[in-house]
Amino acid sequence: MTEDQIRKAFDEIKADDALKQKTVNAVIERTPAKKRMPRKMILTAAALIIAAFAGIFSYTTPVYAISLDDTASVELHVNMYQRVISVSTYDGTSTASYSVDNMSYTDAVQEILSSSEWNNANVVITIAGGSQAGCEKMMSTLQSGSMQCMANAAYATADNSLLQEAQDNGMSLGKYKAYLMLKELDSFVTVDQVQQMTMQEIHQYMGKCRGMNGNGMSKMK
Amino acid sequence: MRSEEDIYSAVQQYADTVRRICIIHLKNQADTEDIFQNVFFKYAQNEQEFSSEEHKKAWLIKVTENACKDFLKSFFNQNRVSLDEIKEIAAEAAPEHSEVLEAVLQLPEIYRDAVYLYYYEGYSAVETAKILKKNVNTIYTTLDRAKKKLKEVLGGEEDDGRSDQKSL
Repeated sequence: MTEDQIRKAFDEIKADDALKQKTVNAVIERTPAKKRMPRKMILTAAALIIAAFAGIFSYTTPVYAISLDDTASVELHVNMYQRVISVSTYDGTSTASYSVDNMSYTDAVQEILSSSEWNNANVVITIAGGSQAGCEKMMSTLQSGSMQCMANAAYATADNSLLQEAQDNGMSLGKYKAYLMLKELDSFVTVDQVQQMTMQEIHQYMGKCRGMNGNGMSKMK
Repeated sequence: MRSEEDIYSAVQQYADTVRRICIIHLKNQADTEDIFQNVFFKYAQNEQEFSSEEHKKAWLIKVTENACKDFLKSFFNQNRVSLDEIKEIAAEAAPEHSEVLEAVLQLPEIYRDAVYLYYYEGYSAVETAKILKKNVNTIYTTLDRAKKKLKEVLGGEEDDGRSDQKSL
């Protein structure tokens, strides 16, 4: 007798198809569906969570700042989706006065300028953040807005670093930029003094310093 | 947890092997079905990467051996396979092979395991010892005794002389 005879004898024993199918069915049935593909589910869940966090993060991260300065000073912080996510005031007015969160920046600017606190005569709109091209595009969009005051406003863009400096000095971007310009004309002017002035007063004093349109404003000296 | 495709593939590929080991140990088809489900459920839960198909096969053989032994440890399953049941199982084989199969199945359990692994699966004595958790010398002794018993039952036919076969 040889190994061959034993092999042939054992070869005769086979699992029939019914037993195989019954086994597969039973094993799959005993395997909880949620555990059968855990890696796939974990990856999908992780991707969704990351996407959700990325979405929340990108929505709540300010990319641009739009400073509106007249007698009041307000700064809008705008995300990458061009939506206003927060408002800062620099004239003692409560931010609650401006309910513009989640509005598009054009609607928000229009809403603010249409309120009674703004006389719209000398509004300065300064935009910083993102890219220079982005700032200029926003500026162009606001200039073509439906409100007359938006078309007539003085527009400027500013460097990102200026935005942080303005915040550190407790001023809106537009007012801080005006302060720096004034500082070149009058090196004695201080942040505290400018904080108390309206944009109109700053420009009038700048005019006086240049010897142009000096209307006797002397409160600073 | 393994995928359904993986489980299906393993059942298709190794069901015969598991069935043969079940035949060596168990007495009826119902018991075999239980062992089948336990073995392949363990496979489904086991996430280790096998280095080769041989590695996977050896793992399944060990798990099946253990599942059968655990099953037989149960008080209610301690009845060994009767002669009639062996004849019934052997009858599954073609007539020219049923006599050999019946003779092998009538061997003591440790002999059946060793004969199956060594002569049918082609494992070496060292590998067989490892799977059965026995000393290698014990396996040699077991195989020698199994050979004598098979010769007693089947008659001492001469080896057919093929060089690639292990002569009994």
